[in-house]
Amino acid sequence: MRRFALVLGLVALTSAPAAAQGRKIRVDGIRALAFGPLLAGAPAKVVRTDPARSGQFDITAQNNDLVILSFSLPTSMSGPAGTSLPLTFSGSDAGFSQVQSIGDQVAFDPRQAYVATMGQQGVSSIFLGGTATPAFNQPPGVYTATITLTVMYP
Amino acid sequence: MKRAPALLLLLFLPRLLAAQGVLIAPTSIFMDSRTRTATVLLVNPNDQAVEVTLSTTYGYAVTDSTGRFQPWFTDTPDSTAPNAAPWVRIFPRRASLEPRAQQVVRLLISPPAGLADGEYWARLVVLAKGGQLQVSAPADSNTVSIGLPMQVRTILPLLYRNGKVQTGAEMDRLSAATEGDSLVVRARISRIGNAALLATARGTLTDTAGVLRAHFSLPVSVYAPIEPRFSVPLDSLPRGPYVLRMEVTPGRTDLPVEALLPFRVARDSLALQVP
Repeated sequence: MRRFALVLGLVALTSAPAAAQGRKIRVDGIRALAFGPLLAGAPAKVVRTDPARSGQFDITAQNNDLVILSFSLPTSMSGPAGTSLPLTFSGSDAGFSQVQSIGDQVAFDPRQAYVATMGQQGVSSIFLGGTATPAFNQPPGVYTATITLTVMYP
Repeated sequence: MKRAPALLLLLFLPRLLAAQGVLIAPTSIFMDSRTRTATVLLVNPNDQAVEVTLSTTYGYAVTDSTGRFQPWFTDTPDSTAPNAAPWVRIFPRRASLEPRAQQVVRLLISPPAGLADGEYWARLVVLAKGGQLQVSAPADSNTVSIGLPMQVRTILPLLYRNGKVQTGAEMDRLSAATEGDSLVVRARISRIGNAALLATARGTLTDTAGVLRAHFSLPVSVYAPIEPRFSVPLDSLPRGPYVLRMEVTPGRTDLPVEALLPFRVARDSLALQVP
């Protein structure tokens, strides 16, 4: 049934009004950047090549399409009773892989825009690492912040 | 009890997001004064519902001092800017897309009366948020845990053409310099006329025998003057004299042919020495 629905969706895509036809893009958040439980006073770093804990987005578009990637990155996370926990990103904490391979990335600075060219397969991945730095007296609890990836067609 | 460590481990494994995001088509939107409407199709191909919010803004890609592209946006553009963002109405502006569902979004543009001929620009912003990210529960009351949900914003060009529109290309400041293991070529590309320059920039490097040694190509959308960089690996270029030729030509493989405006090819060249 699910497959039938998907086929229907694809048929609808191809029979959409003329203006809606043409190239398409799909950007998926695949895996959230995950630090696991932290110890107060002990910085925790996740590298972009970590296959389990790095953040991952996938982009599906036409092969060789050029897109401009940029992140909106939080500098801290909000926790219980208005407390915060610093979060930092360094100049090589992001990586782009034309072939969706965590072992085949081109590093880039997630604090700056990056121009990416889609690979021949039309599916590419972006990986993200970062560092969380809890204070020695960091109150326990759950800390959250949102990471936004912007994909812009020039 | 033997399962307890494994359960604890599972608890702290990073949570896979049920993939969140939408498929959007088309990736460039062209409207004109005859139709004043366009449609965008959103499809949620995933197993998780997605909240989608659409809006418009004004901006385009620019190049920084090193020639790298970066987005430039403003909600308060100069009054002379060809800003179409306030004229675009979106139906619906928000949608909740169930798994495998789709939504046709209609765009209607209502420009002011007496608008001068020309092309006016906006950007369609599609913000997609998946379901709430599950945050690992603290193992005990002394644990600090983190949840970093991700969202995706896709920004597409929207061009509204009113009356007679024309564009043209100008190129100057062609230069080449070695940077590390690359030859970096730069040129300033400007548009003339009353529409954006949607073009392809191409370059070739030929040796003294006329043999093509390297080439590059890049689709460029010129709203304001840009000075992009093109890198050619030096290991593909034996030492010696070369001629660099660059041109900005009509034609883009990523845009519908009927949306492209004709213009005269802009060319420039220079002689250089690869050390």
